[in-house]
Amino acid sequence: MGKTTGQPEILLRRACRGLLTTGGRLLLFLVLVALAGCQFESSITPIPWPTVGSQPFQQATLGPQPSPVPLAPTPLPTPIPFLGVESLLCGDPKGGDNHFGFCAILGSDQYYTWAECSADCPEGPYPGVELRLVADTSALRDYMLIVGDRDQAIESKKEGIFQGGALGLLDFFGGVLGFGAACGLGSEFTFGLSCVGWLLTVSGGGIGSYLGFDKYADNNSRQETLERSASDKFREIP
Amino acid sequence: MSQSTQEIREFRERFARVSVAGFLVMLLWVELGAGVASLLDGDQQGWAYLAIGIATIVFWRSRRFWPIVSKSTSASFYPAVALIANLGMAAMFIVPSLQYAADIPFVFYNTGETRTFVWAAVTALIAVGAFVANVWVYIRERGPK
Repeated sequence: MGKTTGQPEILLRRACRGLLTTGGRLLLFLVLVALAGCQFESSITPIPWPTVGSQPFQQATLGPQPSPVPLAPTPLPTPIPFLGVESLLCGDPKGGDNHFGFCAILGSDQYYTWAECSADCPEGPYPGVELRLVADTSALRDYMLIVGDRDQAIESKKEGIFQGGALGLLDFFGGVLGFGAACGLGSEFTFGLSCVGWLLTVSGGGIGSYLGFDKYADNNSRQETLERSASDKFREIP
Repeated sequence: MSQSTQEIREFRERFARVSVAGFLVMLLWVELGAGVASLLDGDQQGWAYLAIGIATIVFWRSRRFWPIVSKSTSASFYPAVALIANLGMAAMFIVPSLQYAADIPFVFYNTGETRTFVWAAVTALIAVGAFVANVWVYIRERGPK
């Protein structure tokens, strides 16, 4: 005789299933609340309570202190890269780059000046660069002129390398791959008009390229000289 | 004898393809890169470099390119000339690249300097890569079979 399922048993099973479903929903709800709690961010700005700094007599009144507990080293703050004018709130006049420069402070008659540290860098937010707040003086005007000349040297340096590189490669390309067509090879070699033209073009390109790289080298050394002057003048600004 | 002549011709063609490809990549990068970088720096000479780059592309895609170029690449001394030219190009760009590289990381804080450095350094890398590729093809094709 097969076992029959009675009415109360069916009701119990339905109730259990309903309980399981309700339990599952409750569990899911709790998980969601917990996850939401993890991402909770306070919308209220904490009130900065003024605190009294350490008093000089505190150490004296206290007895011998227990040996300090070794603490984990605190991580050093990440150095902020200095971008020059873009790192500061600057007005006109302004000049220079991330190594040497100056700019007027907005709404003030003072100036920001900065320069690479020649020796040890003083405490500051930017590594390798000394940033100062100065008044308008003749030394500052001289510094501005030097920085302006340095900017010009950097621009000329860039123009020189682009000119030298572009003409130089074109010259190599035309020289190596064009001589056969222009002058012929072996028994076909002829020093004709096309060959003379090829020779003149290659020579002209070579001279142009040389002048470009020469401009680069000249302005590179000029930049170095101006940087030394800028460094000295920066220290003369009161 | 004729097989040997055929092999030499094939070697010259392969070497020519590789070396000319290297020259073209380098020339296009230098002219187009210098053009764009100069114009971004406000230097109007950039238009001239861009024009040279576009003219190079037009010449390369024209039907007259290989007949003209093959007159030079078929010379027996062409591999030596190409390798010397590759070395010359690499030397032209390695020195300024190293000068800019000496200023890392500060060079990256200045957009104009970064552009010039990347342009010169990539050209130097292409030049070295082209030289290595040329030497590799030369050794592989000329080596004992």
